[in-house]
Amino acid sequence: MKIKKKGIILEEYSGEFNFKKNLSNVNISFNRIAFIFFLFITIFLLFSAKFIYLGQLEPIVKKITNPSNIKFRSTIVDRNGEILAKTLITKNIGINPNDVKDIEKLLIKLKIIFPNKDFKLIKKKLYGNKFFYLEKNVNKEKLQKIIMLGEKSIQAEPRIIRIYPQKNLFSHVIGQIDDNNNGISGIENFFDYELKSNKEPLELSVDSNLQYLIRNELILGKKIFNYIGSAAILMNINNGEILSMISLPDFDLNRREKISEIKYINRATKALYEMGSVFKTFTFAAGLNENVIDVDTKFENLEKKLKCGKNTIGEYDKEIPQDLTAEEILIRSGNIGSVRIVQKIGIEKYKSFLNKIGIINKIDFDIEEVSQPLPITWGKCKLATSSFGHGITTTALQVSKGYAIISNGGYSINPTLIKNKYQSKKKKELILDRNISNKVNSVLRKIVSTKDGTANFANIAGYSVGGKTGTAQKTVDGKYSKKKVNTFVSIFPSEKPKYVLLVLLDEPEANQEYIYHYRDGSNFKYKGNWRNTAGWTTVEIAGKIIEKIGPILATKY
Amino acid sequence: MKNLFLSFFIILLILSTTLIKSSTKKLEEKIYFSKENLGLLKEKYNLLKLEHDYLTSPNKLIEYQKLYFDGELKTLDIEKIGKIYIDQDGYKIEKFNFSKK
Repeated sequence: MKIKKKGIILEEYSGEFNFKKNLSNVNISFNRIAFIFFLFITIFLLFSAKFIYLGQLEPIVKKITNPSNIKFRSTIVDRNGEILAKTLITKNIGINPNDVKDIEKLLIKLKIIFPNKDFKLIKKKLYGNKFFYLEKNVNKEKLQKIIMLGEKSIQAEPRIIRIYPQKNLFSHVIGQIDDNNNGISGIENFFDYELKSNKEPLELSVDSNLQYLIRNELILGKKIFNYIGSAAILMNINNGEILSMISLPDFDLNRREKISEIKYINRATKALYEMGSVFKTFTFAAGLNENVIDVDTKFENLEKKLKCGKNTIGEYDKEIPQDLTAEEILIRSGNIGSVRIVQKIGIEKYKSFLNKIGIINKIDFDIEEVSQPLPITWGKCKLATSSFGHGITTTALQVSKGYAIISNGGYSINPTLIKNKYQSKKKKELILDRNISNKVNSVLRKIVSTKDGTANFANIAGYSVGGKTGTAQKTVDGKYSKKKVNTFVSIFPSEKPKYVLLVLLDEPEANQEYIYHYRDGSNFKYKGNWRNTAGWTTVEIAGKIIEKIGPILATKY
Repeated sequence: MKNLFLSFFIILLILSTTLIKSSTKKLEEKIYFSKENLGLLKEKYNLLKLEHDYLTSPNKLIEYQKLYFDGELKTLDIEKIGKIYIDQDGYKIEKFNFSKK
C-alpha cells in the first residue's frame, strides 16, 4: 500500500508593509489623541455633574399647569337656559423674583396696572427669592396689559373656577365640587361623569324664577312662624319633572364651605319625617283602589278614643261627628275614621299600595341625598297609626310622588331634576285604578274650598287648589315632643291637576299677632291664634306661594 | 407618441395636484381661522351670557326694583289676565282660565 505524504509549504512574504505610505502627511501621535479624548471626557463629565446637580434642585417656580390638562366641567342650566353653574379658566399672576432684572422698573410698571395694591409688601417680596402670587383670577384686560410688559419673571398660571351666579338659590339641588374638580354632592356629584365628558350643558327641569319666588316666600314665612327649617317641592304630576325644589337653610355655593352641620340637611329629599295627616289621602286612595270603600261609604259610631297596646289614638278635632262618610273623614281629617278604613284594607294590601306609589321604599332620584325610610314592623297598631301618618317615616319628595300618582290618573311617574328625561317613554304605566284620581281630587278640593276643610287659606280664586294638611309631632330621643312638622300637599288645578306643591315647615311656632287674609276673593281677614297646625302655618305660606307662581305657571307652561 | 402623451398626462396630473393642494391649503387656513374666530366669539358670548344671567337673575332684579322704584311689586291676579286673539275681523280678548287650560 502506498502511503501519501502530507506537507505545508511556507513562503516568506516578500512585500513591504507600507502603512506610512497610505496615510497623508498628518502625523498624529497616540499621546495627542489620548489628550483630546481626555479633554472631551472631562467636559462631558463636568456637564453631566451640572445636570445631576440641577436635577436635584427644588424648583423655585411653581409648576405651571397647562390649561388643556385641567379637567373640563360642563355648564348646568335651568329649563330656560339660565346658567346655574359654569366653569371658567382664569389666570393667577405670579412673580419669580430671581428672574427680575430691574425691580424698581417693574414696580413702576405694575403700579400703573394695579394702582390699588400694597406695593410696600410687593417690594419686600421682590427682594426675597420666593415665588409669590401678585393677583388671583385676573381679568382678560389686565392679563393682556401684563403680557405686553414682556417681563420674563411674570408667570400666568391657569386656574379653574366654578361660578354659581344664582348663589344660594339651588344649593341643595346643584351641590358642591372639591378642589380636584370632583362633584361631592347634588347634581355635581350624581352627574360627575356626564359633566366631565359631555360638552353640551346639562339641562335641569327647574325654573330659576319659580325657585326664587318660592324660596323668598319661605324666607319671609320664617319671620312669621319662626321655623328652624323648611322645604318645598313643585312638580309636574304628569312627567315627574321638578320645577322647583328648596330646602332651607341653604348656603352660597360660591363660598365653597364645608357643609356638614345637620341644619343644612336636604329637607326635601334626605330628611325622614313622620308626615302626619297627609297620609290620610293615601289611606283613602288605597281604600278606593282596593274597592273596600267608596266616597260615600258610611262609618257610624266612630269612637273619640281608641286604645292600641299602650298607646291611645284620639282626635285633634274634638267636635268631629261620630257618623262620617269616607269623604268626610278625609275632609275633617279624622284619625279614628282613617284607622277604620285601613282596617278594612288590611296590612298586606295597604303595604303593597304604599310600596306601589313609592312611599316606603328608597326612591331612585337624580341626587344621592335621599334616604331609605325606616323599616316598619307591621302589626295591628302600626297599621292603625300609619293610616294617619304616625309611626311611619318617609321623605317630602316621596310624599310628592305619591300625591302625583294618585292625582294624575294612577300613572307611575318618577321625580326627576333633568328636563325631558322621561319624555321618550311613549306609554305610561298605569298602576292604580284609573277612576280614583277624580274622586280623590274632588275631595282634596273640598278640603281647601269648604269650611269643614283644614286648608282654606290656600283657596285662591282662579286656581282651583286642592290639598291635604298634615301636622305631626316630632320625635326627640324616641319620644313625641311638642315640636311639630307641618306639611301641606296641594294639587292644582284640581279639575285636571298639572302640579303638585308640597310645603313643609320644620318646628314652626304659632303667631297670634299675624293677620291672615283669605284669598278666595272675599277679602276676609282673620287674626292669628294659638293653633300650631299645618292649616294655620303651612297652608298660609303655600297660599302665598301659589298666588305668586300661579301666573307664571298658567301663562308659561 | 404614446410616451409623450403619457408623460404629458403625468405632468398635467402633478400640476393639477399641486394647484388643488395649494388652493385647499388656503381653504384649510380660512377654515382654521374661521374656527378660531368662532371659538373666540363663542367664549365671548358665554361670558356675556353669564354676566347677563347674573344681572337678570330674580335676586338681582328684585334688588334693582328696591333700589330704583318706590312701590312694591304686586301679585298678578290670574282672573285679570286675558288672552288676545287677532284675526281679519279685529281682535278678541278672552278671559284666562287656568283651571280649564
